[in-house]
Amino acid sequence: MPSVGRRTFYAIDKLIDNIETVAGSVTSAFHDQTVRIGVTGLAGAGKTVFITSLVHNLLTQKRLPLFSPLVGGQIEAVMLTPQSDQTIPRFALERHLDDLTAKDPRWPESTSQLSQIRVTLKYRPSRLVTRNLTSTRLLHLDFVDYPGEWLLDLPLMDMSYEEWCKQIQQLITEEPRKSYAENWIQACKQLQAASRFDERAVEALADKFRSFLLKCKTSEHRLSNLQPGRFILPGDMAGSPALTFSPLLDFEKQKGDDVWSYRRIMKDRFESYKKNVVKPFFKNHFANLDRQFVLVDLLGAIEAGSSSVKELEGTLDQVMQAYRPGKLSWLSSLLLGKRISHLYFAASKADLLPRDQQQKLGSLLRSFARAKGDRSLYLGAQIDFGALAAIRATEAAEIKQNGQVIDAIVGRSKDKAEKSVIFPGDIPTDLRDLRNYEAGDFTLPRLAPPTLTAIDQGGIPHIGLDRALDFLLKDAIT
Amino acid sequence: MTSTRRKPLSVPLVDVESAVVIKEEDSEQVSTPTQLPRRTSKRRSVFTWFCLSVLGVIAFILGFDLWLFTNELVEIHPVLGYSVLALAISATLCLLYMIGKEFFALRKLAAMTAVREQAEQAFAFDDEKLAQKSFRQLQVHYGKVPELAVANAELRKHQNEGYSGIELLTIAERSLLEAIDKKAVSLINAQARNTALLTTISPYAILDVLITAWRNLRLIRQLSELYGAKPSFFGSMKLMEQVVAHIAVTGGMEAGDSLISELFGGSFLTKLSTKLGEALINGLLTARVGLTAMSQVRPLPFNALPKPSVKHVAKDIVKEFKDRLV
Repeated sequence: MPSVGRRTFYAIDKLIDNIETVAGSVTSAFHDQTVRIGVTGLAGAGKTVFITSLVHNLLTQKRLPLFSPLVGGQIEAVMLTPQSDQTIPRFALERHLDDLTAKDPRWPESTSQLSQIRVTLKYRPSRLVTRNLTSTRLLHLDFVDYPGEWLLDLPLMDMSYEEWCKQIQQLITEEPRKSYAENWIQACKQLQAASRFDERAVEALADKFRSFLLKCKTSEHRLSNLQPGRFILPGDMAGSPALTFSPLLDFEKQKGDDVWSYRRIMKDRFESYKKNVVKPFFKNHFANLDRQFVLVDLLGAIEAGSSSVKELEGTLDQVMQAYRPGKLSWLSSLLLGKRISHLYFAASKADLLPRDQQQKLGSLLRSFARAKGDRSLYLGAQIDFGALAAIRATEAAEIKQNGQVIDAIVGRSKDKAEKSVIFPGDIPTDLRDLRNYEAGDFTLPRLAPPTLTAIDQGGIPHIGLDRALDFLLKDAIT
Repeated sequence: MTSTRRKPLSVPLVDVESAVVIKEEDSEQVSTPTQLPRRTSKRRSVFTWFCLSVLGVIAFILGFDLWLFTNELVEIHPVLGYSVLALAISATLCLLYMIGKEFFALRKLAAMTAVREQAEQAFAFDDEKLAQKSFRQLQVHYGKVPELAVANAELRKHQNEGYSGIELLTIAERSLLEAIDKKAVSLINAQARNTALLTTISPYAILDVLITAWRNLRLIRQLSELYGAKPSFFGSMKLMEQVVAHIAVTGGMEAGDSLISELFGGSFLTKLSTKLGEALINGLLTARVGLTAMSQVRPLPFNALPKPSVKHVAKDIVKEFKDRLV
């Protein structure tokens, strides 16, 4: 008799087990939800610091008073979880945090390739239907960090090699590009005069072109609208033929179209760059994004003067093209009807401004980007703009000068031991004013990171992260 | 334009004597108490002047009578006369004290209303300056409340963290008012239930009315105390007036009535007893009065937090009734 009883018990036990597995698989469909959030910006806009601070502040759940699902008590837990895609490098959060919280803090080094990190939120659903089905749900946030330079390859897709050469030739007639390009022009002329094909010469020319682009980028003019993007940030394809080419001068006048002509080879590599580098990025990574942060170093452009502002305007225009694929048929077909639902443009490094100017920075960016065309082109994506500082490296201060009180900031310069009181200047009030700015009207301090030894309890001090998060994620948590 | 642009400047901290570093914890620099704006001076109507004059005449007559009376008493016996005089003086002093207290209580209430109205406008028109002003006044109002010390310190910190005035108001609503709101709603719940229960057992209709009125006034007093306005007679009256006006505008008891039948599903309780139905209506009225009063004494409009509705309170009352009856 006892054996029968035991057998029945086992049977029931097994049945319960089975039911649990089935029920688990049914409810997990209601549980898990993934939102892929792209984070981009041109090098120097502060992407790495941004993600580090954002994720850390989410994990500590402090310092985000405007992120309504969190302060409303809807979110129960936040944790780091393993990412779903095993082939993409993980964003090195811990290493960057170590850099920032070291006794002698350093700004984390910038990354030059795609990386990803997953944060999972456990929350109580507020929508009636889901609330009755499950008590808590999981929302996976995949933050995907990719260089904004890669977005700038978009215009290449619609260009033939001939057109591209023509465009480059046009661009280098003007300063400041003209003087930076001298080396490359020389090399190009030499190469085109030679008759025999030499791979080393191609490599050398491509290298010269790359250093021309880098010079443009790092110069005081801070040129940003530079193609091809992988020449500046090659990612994992450095050295391959697809990244070893260069435009040629006076392309139409060139003769010869046989397999070993420079003309033919360069053209082939250009096409292969488009096919094997640009397109796969948009197909494999960009097309999967649901929401997007774009960090813009507007302050850096203001500091560098009007030519840089103009350049940034063009760059931003290119970047925005990627988010309104209506005009670009090849991109629309890649996206397959998927689209980015929320787009947040943030002017970074707002902490370098006195507190009365921080708000103005956001609205300046808004008018800066608004001037660029019709909102309906974004296919219904919601767009917002704001000022932001991923890490606040300054304190507020006031200077009394000639009987006037000026809002200023206090921070420690990178090369100095003690703190300074800094007034960086007034930022432009509107677009017209912005175009009149010259170098010297506005000076950005280069500050060392603040001491962040006790951030585990309090979170990293920031400006505007919660505002951005609230805009981007509020409606995903329902 | 260029001439008004201020030039960049950077000096070591030690060299500047006049620089003031605003410490995160130090709020005094930021929130200097500002004088609350007076309401735009109301032009006194002829009627008010008439009433004031009549009151003055009465005061004169009373004073004169009192004077004559004391004089007569002094002639009869000085002790009698002077004790009456002393009593009269003490009565006058008490009256003055009461008037003063009422006056300050009313000013406090008006100040809170002003804060709310400014905040409402700031939200409606996205007015940054008004929002800042409203926020500063809110800090003056709640800055010294010991229970809110932590929230206040956080708020002072946020002022330097690049938040706009409107965002600060949103944060303040959550951090300062969420707990108070919860208390207020449970208070309203309790009072509405009490009114309903008391009127169920009261034998006369007139008693129902008295009970409801008494309970409502009490509730208003408690609510204004909860939100930090000093409770006062005229203040409560004024609030009651506002509440009644508000309810009249928004459709009286109709909402409550339809709500009842909706909640009962074929009004099973009302069929059970008309008395019960009436009691419920009284309870709902109290709830409505309470919620309206709450939005009148609350120094901020409902923006970040959801506005509690009669429905929630009503559900609780009905539940209580069902629990007790069934």
